[in-house]
Amino acid sequence: MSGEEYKREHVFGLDYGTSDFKFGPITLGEVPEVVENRGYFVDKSSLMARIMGVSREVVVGKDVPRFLESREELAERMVYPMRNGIVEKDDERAWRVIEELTRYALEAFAPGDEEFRGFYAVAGLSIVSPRYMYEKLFEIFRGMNRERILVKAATIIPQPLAVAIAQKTPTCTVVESGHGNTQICPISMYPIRNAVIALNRGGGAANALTMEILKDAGYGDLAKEESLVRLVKERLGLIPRDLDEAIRYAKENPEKVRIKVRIPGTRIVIDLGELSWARFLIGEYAFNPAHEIFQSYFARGMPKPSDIRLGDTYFYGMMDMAEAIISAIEKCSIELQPHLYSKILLSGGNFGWSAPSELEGVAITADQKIKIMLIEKGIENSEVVVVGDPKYSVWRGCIVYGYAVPVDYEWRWERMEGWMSLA
Amino acid sequence: MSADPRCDIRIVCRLKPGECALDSLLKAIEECGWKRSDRGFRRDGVEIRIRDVSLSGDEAVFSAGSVGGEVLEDFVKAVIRRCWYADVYYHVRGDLAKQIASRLGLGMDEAGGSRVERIKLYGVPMRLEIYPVAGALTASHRVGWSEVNRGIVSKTYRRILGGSGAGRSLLDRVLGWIR
Repeated sequence: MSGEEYKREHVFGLDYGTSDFKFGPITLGEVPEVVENRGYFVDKSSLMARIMGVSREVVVGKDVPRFLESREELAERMVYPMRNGIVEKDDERAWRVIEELTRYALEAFAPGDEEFRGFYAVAGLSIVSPRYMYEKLFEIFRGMNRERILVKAATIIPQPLAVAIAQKTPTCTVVESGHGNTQICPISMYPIRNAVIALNRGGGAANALTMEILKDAGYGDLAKEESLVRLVKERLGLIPRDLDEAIRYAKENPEKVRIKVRIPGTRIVIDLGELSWARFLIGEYAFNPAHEIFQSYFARGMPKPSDIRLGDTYFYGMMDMAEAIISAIEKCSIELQPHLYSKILLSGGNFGWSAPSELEGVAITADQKIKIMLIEKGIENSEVVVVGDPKYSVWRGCIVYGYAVPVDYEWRWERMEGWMSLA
Repeated sequence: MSADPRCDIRIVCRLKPGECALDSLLKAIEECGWKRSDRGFRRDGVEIRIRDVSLSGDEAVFSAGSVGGEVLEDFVKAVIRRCWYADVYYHVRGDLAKQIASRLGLGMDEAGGSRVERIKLYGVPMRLEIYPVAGALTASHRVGWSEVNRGIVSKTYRRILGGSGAGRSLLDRVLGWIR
């Protein structure tokens, strides 16, 4: 089997999202495996851990729920390694989780086959990731190989570029919005790094609002469970064409907007009842948290997405999505700007909103919302598209990139591309 | 066969050594009655997409979704006129993966790790990658002129995905009849 032929069957994509980690080899087809980007540090000194023979320091992946202890322990021992797509340089516990997740992913698919000589690993990182994250990740791959060869060669690409590659669109603006943050990145063959705008919010912000809405509807006890809140958001949340009109419609036609959400495997049924109009708030908040209606929630203590600085990157909290897109594109050359507006790709789990047909004209999809917001700001000729299966588009781009880059194209730090040979 | 999201069939076409222009391959497909579409080729309501092309231009990957065996064979017949060889991959997930593993006499125990099995179907070596963690299975085999002329593509298709009495066990046939 030639080098290229071997690579074709052993490309492995790893998409390090702030909330979810997507991974899997090329042979998985179109859908990767997904686990939460977190790790649980087991108290190995505890009697139970010793009785049960727990030898691992960090537990990641699908096993995590089996090791969880009390809520108090949870806060101390559960580590979410990324914040806005970035792992702090000296945060040893966070890097330990990243290492364990990476090993978990590769070992889950590494065949016990004598022909196996390691994967061609393609990692997708946030566009704002500093260079040390690239260095650390290569180090992790290299370190794992000391025990067993899992990675033959590795490369790392920015997540928005992976989306553009998956869509085969060399000139575009990628809006990648995951759980924790949103990256707006104009691309013209390569990402235009000095035009990147980052927002300090993603799907998690809409979760926070959903939590408040659940409390208002009398489900305060359930609102503490993050996974339940997320599920409710996904089932209940609607993006309004125009928030004020949508609320008016919902209040005049309450039965059309009201639904009951049954939580699988439990007896819990959630019904917002008269508060069903608030379904539109959830969608609006993801796109425009500065709408005045949200002030009452902030006043009652809901955390406001704040402007923060991480390393050299400024993350805006309250800037609306269309404003952020325009700001990013306007940092590029005037000649390029129309091309960047003509292909805006929306990617990431935060754009997977549905618009029920019975609410046509009132509830809309993410691409329609952005287009309307851009028109309101004077941008008429934009084309906005939600990529197919937005949650997986970065992983798919990693796979396409790994397939396309020849095995003999070596990694170069000055261009940040090519294969870093590791075995 | 209606579109089945659990299955994606891919055809990787390798050009003859020294060739690196895909134009002749694309033309050969058109000559066999397939029409160019935005994303690939279309015929009789079926679309086969061009998924990837290698940077060196000597290899193309087509994604056929869950097309029927005859359509697949017809497409491979078209590409093989200009290819050195073609590799056919069946990427399957979920319960379909388990059914196929069982049909081929293999286990898919979730407690087990990933593994590669090699079997022969109609004399053609077949590679089976089994991922119990993801509930996924990939079956692949290589075809050249000789295999295509022997109808290997549709025969292996039937053995993997079913669809005909040929090659099915008695139990399969009885269960199929009951269903």
